[in-house]
Amino acid sequence: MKRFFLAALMLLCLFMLTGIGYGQSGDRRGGDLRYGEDELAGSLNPYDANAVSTSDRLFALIYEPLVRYDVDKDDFIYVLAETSKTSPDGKKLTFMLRTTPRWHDDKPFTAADVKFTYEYIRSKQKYARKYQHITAILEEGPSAISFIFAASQSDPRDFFTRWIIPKHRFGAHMEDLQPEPLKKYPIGTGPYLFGNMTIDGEINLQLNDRYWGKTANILNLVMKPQPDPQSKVMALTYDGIQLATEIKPNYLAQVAQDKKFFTRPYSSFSFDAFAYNCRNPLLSEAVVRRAMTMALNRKSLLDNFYFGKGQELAGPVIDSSPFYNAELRPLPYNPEKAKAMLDSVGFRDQDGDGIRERITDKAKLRFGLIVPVEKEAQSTETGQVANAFKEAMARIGIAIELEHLNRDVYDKRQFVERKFDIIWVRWEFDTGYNVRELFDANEDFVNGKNFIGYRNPSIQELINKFTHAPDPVYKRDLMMAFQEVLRDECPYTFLYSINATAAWTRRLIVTSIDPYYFFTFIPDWYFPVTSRARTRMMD
Amino acid sequence: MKKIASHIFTTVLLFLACGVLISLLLSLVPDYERYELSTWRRFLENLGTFLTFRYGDAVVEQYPIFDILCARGVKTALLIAGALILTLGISIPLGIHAARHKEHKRARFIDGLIYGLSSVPILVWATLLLIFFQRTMDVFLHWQLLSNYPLGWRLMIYLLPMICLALGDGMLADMTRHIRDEAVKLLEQDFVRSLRARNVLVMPHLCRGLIPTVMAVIAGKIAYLFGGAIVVEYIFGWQGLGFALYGAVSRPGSKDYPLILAATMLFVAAALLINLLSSLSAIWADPRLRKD
Repeated sequence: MKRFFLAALMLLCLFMLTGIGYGQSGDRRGGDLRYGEDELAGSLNPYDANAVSTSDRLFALIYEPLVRYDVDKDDFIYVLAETSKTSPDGKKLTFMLRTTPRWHDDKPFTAADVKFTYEYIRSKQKYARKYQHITAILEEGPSAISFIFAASQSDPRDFFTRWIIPKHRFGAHMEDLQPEPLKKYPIGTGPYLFGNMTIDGEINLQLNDRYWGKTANILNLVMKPQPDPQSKVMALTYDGIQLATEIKPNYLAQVAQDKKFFTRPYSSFSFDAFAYNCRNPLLSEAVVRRAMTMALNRKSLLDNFYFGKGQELAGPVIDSSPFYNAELRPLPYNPEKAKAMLDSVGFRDQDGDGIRERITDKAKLRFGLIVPVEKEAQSTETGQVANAFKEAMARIGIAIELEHLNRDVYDKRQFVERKFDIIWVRWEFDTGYNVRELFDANEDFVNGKNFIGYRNPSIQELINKFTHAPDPVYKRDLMMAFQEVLRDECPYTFLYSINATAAWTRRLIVTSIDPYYFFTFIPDWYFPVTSRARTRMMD
Repeated sequence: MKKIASHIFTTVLLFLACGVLISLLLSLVPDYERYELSTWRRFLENLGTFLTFRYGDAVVEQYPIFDILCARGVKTALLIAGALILTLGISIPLGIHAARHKEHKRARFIDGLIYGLSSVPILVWATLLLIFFQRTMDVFLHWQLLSNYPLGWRLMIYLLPMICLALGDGMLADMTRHIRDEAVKLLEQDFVRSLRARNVLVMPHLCRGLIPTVMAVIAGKIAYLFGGAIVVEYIFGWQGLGFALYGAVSRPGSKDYPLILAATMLFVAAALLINLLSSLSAIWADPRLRKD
């Protein structure tokens, strides 16, 4: 009898435990999430020229890479790859792939897909330069693949954070011949399946039940493009959307005051700066650039125009990047010292017109500054910052002529003609945060990243060492030195990194946000049971 | 017949001229994606696209431009048709009433009221009405929230942009005044007096006489209506052609030039077609104009 009771008790406990386990996982599953984006998604092929940041966020839901760089852990996390092995000479990297992932159309994921993806990437002009170091790609069975490099690489995994695309969707010559090409009908291995895109640009995604990893909780996602920031805030208020990936600073107070929402700033992996064209003989002098940087009160710009929602920068690396040099302080705001510096190198206002000229050749410190003008109504901050820069420079005897350009002309002047003296820029990076190429002399070509034509032997040496450095600590040291040189050399006046702020309804539990792809951690997000009924999508 | 053919020929010619002009204007806008091409070459490319109607796929929307024009054009047509029906529904009775009682104080008051209401720009009407409903009834009548509201509010989401378009920028006042003036003229005609003497209902004849005037006012105001539709669509999130056009023009970086060209040409074609219909209706209503 005793045994019977004991067995019954154990059975009961087992039922309760499984019940609790089921309840916990079941509790979180459910609900639909509508989220708002500033612009339409563009092409859904990740390697199409028309992909924009909205589509990048969608890619994190649909596609997966071999490895992903985790900013918090400061290391690569294996996704579609299970492990990797680098040869002793650092010229060969072999990935062992997971065998469980399947494409959304139920075809198996194999090494052939990885090989195809990297061949496809290398065929694109945009990526060809970066991937030229790979000399061969060898399939070693269905779940192993090796990449051979021309030279030894310190950590070659850095090359493999790109989204893997399905080979079977393409023809023999990498052409997308499907009736529904990848740019319209993406197929990946990720946690969400592409449903459809309406002609209004709304995109519907459904939960991938057969996902190989941790299945997400939210059943359906709808991306709603909302170009008007006010309408986006109102849509959030009136439950048209439950999450906005970014709220503009001037609407932030309105959303933050509303008790219905959570707001969370997240590092946007971007920075604003004034870049100096080093081909201009006057701007090629580091002391002039340094004086200009010290004459500008960057803290006040951040406070006045961005409500202090950002971080003042000393160099191009933001504080959430692993290579951030926390001990490096930005050059101080000191217009008197800036004037003294210009005096010391022979720039004085001798003719009394308020503009300094070089004593030797009478060359005046008069420069043009170009800023993009598009969507002026939504981004007046850029114009205000440019005006503040102009005024600050006038105070130390440098004349700035402001030129507002249409984005097309601006882009052409920046990357193609490289015809400007000073240019306002906003750089945005993915999680790899490669700022080195902005100052790399090898990037000084049409459409290259080093459009200012900056050349500095010590910077070049640091970049070269970094590329081949095997030791992460040594790499970090190199990047610290890199930032220090740039802080003093001032090829850019680094302004600040503006925090992006996401807002969502309190009914949604958001654990963490990826600074660039945003949705990387979506499997952990959920709607608690009580609020789920209200989040069911209507027809 | 010759006159009708001449009108049609002129319309086609105007359409082609507008196409050439817009192709030229678009080629003067710098295009970062095609910076290596000269302005002249880009003009020829734009012209080729216009003449062959091979617009291809939209750069961002990823749909064939023809599909986008059809889907969004229908929504814009609905908006404009709704606004016109509202305008005519108000202005025809009021215009005729004012013509019949032109010395009456009430008619003059209504005339003044309509003039006042109609002189408010569409942008102001749209913003004010959105705020009014939001503040007083806690509803945000935006297209994006269509599925969140019950049927009554859904109808209002459709109706409100139409009301703004009908009321704003002088549309209603112009229509009412023209109808009143024409109705006054018609009521003084001999045939109306003889109809009255024979105790025949005047209204059908009056309405037929008013058709050319109504068509002429619509033809004159259609360009304003298209401009107003872009504003209204943007404010209310109405996903029509104006919304797409605004998005394509204001997008940072390279623009979707084929989409801009196609949408603009659709607006031009609609305006010219209405102009043609206005001329044809005048010929239909007045037999004297049929003489070649």
